[in-house]
Amino acid sequence: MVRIIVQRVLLMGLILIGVITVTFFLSRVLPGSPVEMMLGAKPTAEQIAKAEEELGLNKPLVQQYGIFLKKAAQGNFGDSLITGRPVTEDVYLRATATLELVTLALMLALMVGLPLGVKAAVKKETLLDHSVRMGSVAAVAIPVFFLGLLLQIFFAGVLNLLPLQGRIDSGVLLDSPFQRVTGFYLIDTLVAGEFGAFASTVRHLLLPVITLSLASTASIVRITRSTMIEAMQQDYIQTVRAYGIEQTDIHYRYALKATLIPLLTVVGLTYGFMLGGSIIVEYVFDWPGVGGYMVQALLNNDFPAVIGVTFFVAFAYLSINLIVDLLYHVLDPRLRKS
Amino acid sequence: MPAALTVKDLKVTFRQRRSQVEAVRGCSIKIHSGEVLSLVGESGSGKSQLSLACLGLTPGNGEVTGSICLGSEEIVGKPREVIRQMRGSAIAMISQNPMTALNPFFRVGDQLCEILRAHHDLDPSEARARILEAFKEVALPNPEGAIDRFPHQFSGGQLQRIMIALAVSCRAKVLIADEPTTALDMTTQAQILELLRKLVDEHQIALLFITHDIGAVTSLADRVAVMRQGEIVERGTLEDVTRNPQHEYTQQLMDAVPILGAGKITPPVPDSISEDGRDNAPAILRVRGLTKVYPSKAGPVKALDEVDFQILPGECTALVGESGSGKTTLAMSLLHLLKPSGGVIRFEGKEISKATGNTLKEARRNISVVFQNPYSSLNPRMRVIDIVSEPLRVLTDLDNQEIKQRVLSALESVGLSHEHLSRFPHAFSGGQRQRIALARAFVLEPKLIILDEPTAALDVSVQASVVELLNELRERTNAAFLFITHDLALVEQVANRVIVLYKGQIVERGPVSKVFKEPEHEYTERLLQSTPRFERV
Amino acid sequence: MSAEGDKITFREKATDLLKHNRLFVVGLGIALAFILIALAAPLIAPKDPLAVNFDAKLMTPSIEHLFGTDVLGRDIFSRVLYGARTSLMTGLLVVSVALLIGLPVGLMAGYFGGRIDMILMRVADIFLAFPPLLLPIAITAALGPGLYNALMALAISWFPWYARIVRASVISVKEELFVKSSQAMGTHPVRIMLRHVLPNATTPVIVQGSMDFGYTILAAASLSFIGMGARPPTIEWGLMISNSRSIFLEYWWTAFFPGLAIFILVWGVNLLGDGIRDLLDPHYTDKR
Repeated sequence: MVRIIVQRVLLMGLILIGVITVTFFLSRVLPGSPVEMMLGAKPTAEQIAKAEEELGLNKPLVQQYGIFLKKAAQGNFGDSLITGRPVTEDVYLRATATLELVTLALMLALMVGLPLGVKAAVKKETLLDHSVRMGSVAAVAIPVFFLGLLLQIFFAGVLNLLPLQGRIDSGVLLDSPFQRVTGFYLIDTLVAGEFGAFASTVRHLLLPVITLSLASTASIVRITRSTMIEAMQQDYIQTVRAYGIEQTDIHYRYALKATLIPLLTVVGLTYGFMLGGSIIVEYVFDWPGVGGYMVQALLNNDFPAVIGVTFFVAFAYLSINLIVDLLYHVLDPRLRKS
Repeated sequence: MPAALTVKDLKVTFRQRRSQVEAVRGCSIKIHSGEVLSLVGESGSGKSQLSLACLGLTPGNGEVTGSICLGSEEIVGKPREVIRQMRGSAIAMISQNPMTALNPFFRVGDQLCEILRAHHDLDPSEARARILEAFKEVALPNPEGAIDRFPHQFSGGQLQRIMIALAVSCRAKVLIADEPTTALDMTTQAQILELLRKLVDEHQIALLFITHDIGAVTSLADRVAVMRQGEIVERGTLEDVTRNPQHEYTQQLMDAVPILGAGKITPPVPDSISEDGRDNAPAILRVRGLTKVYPSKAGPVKALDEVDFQILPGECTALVGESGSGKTTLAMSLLHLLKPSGGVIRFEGKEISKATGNTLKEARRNISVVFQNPYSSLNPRMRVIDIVSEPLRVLTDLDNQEIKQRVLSALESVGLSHEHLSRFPHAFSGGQRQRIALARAFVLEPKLIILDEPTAALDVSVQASVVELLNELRERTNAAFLFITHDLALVEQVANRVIVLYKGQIVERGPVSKVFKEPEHEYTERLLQSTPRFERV
Repeated sequence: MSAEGDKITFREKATDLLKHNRLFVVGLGIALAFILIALAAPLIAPKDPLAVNFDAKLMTPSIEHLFGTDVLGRDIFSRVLYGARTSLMTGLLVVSVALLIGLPVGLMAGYFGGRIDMILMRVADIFLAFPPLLLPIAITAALGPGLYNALMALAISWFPWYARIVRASVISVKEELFVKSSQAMGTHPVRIMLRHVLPNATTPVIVQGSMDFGYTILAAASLSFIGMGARPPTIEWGLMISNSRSIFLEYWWTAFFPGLAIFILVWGVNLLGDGIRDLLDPHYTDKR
């Protein structure tokens, strides 16, 4: 087991190096000059040369890459050209917002998707199954940004029930300031006992979480359904059936157990899918997470920020998949070392 | 006292979109306690549907009429819930493939206890004790250790013992075993059948033993029922049915079964053996010290260990071994599909295992192969003409006209004709597909043909006709055969000589008559004992 | 080993699907309708989709302007019709370019195995380490925003999926005995790949491609929405919604109809994809 962990962690490290290498060279071919962006309109040639030297842009690309790698290894991705702060700090501040959004959306998708998928599989070829399947095909077809707009029009515009965008009301923030310990507002507000701020956080979270989770919920429903149906056709389910185990037990104990383990992989993939989707959702709801930061950075040629964000997102994604992979090794006796 | 299981005029009908399919059409059987009834039939005969009906497990779109009584209790028409209660207490089942019969994620003991406790009022430790007791009864090695292991840590035979232990611990009086040994090796098969017989006698179980393997029937059954197209066409005691079959189909079936001691043994080509019994005729293939080592986590595994043998022109040499004996590795090495770790393979005097270029091409032109599974050995996206002509296109410079001629004559020699040329493989039955594979193997008129279990995937009656065709082809072309098989009865029908491979080593060799009469190695003896023998009138 | 399953022909299955799977028919209908709209857009569009008319800006839907007009007074109905061209082309281009790259890569990795496989798959791993959408966004930014750049970026970040699927099916086809049998004859590897492996390994990737078609349309629209994809004057649904971002609360139709168009098209295409899957690969299960 230890060997497998070491192996996987090393492999993940290699892939991460690959990821930042790819992003490094991609960011260097970004059109337009980052220096101009940084210095504003009409800088003198001297200013440009000075700035380029500061940023190390006058050195050959390979050398730049070497310097970059050395710094990155120390956790230093440079300063953002726009905010002027270290990229790691920027990303850290925004990462928790994104993680809060994605984690809640993932939980919602699992809480809704799993039972629906199981139910549809058990009641295969009934009205319920057909409607769940139709609904899930429709749900993946809705563009995330369109769904966000629809929800905004309805809940914020027409009903005026929920806030249009943002993470918390600025007014509430002034009235009841709270310590940011974890960066997850839901937790921080509760710990601080600021229930007004907590309520505001919840209200702000509702729409983006629903928007982000809908497509994933639908795909979890589909995958759960088909995995469960497949499980019910396995020989070992036939065995327990032949030994007169109750139908409900067959479904909810034997088949479900056999379904949950393969579904682990899906959790990893869904997490990645949501990290990608969060870029759009954050843009729609003006959510102060890494997605919006990344889009801004890309549009403004802020290459240290681009690399920093990409690294963080890939790291989060790979970590989840590493955990899933290792869990799989723990759960599947065939993969355990004898 | 009523029989343990009585089935009367049973019909199982499946309603499909366009039609109705009658899988079982009015069958009646009766099994008493302590008795084994063999239900024999080929695939699609309805035997499995009959057994599922007895368990109340007919799939949703099937309709069951007639009568099935467990003891005196009628189950047809009973609510599902009532029948469910009887499964696992009054009636139990052993399935075909023990390797997939248990969930790979959980310990066998836990799974068995859970199933046991569904019907029997036992606390966990009592259930465990009962399972342990059953493990001892089925002679599972190290029962205390076995109970906490996972399914993948057992061999197929051991897993089947575990499944039998489950059936025994449920104290079911009626047991249905659906092809319980088909997935197992010959020697393991014999042990499992022996075990079933012992348990039937000791516990007075009524066993419905479903199989297509007449060999297995003869070593276990008291009575036999032969099923075909949903009907029972013949029934009687084991003796009556095997020795003196009445129905035409049963006769065909019995004739087709390769039976040890029934066939005429073909002696080796006489002048190939000199006075001292040593082979000195010029061999077409000589293998010396052939070794193949696979790396594995537990250290290197020797699949082949210093194998020496030779094949004489025009002779059929049978290579006998069970799965894992190394016979497939050997075939792959001869075909240049695997690189041996050591040793020499000489074909017509030329070393070919490391050969390239023309020497290799020459060897390939003269060695061809027929694989076990005709469903996998023909490319489903190619027409028959392209399949059979492939060797000609790859290995010769013939023009299209000549190629077509050669393909046609090859097809005719296996009993197919020009009308089959442009069809795709899916239009053919298993037996026909194997004929196409044979045509491809013979189209180059090779000097050596490697046949890797060429009949194992076919139904018995089809098997017989393919064996017949093989003998005919060999007589006509005078090609040498290396016939790989696990079935000794088949060896007797086709081979002159036999080589027995066991754990990568050759443990026995010689003319078929000699080896079968006086086996020297203990493993050969075991193999021979596990092969059924019986006599026909 | 019953041969019954084999005897159902492709044509029978197709008729069966058309007769009994209503959703498949709906999907087929939607897809055909959109193809027709895309082809005949100049004929059926009531207005010039690019004609700016400040006198008629932000008008509510009416007989004159079925879907209303946008901030520049352009007829949204006509623009939605023209948008079908962009979206259909998007799906087609992305999936086929991704297939074009993924197929040979997967074929080589799967067939030759060993070091080639190792290298190709590690490269694929790097691509797959980016969550979906992130890599296309980054590549688009590097290439410069624009529809075709976005499409290329999508295809580049998409191909490793196909390479993986092809590789997996090649590895299983490689074990088939007809391949072994051909190898035993000494057939050239390239011939084996083309004659034996490729024709039998493409079904899963074609199935996946047809199911991804809708997703690529969504992804391209998303890129346009955040300003990384299509630029004016290209008519693209995602871009239309993006343009109405600051006003959609009051003028809902400016975002609603283009969004609806994407939804219906992708829904239809997905239903069609499911049908194609049932037709080609009855044993398919959702893998991701």
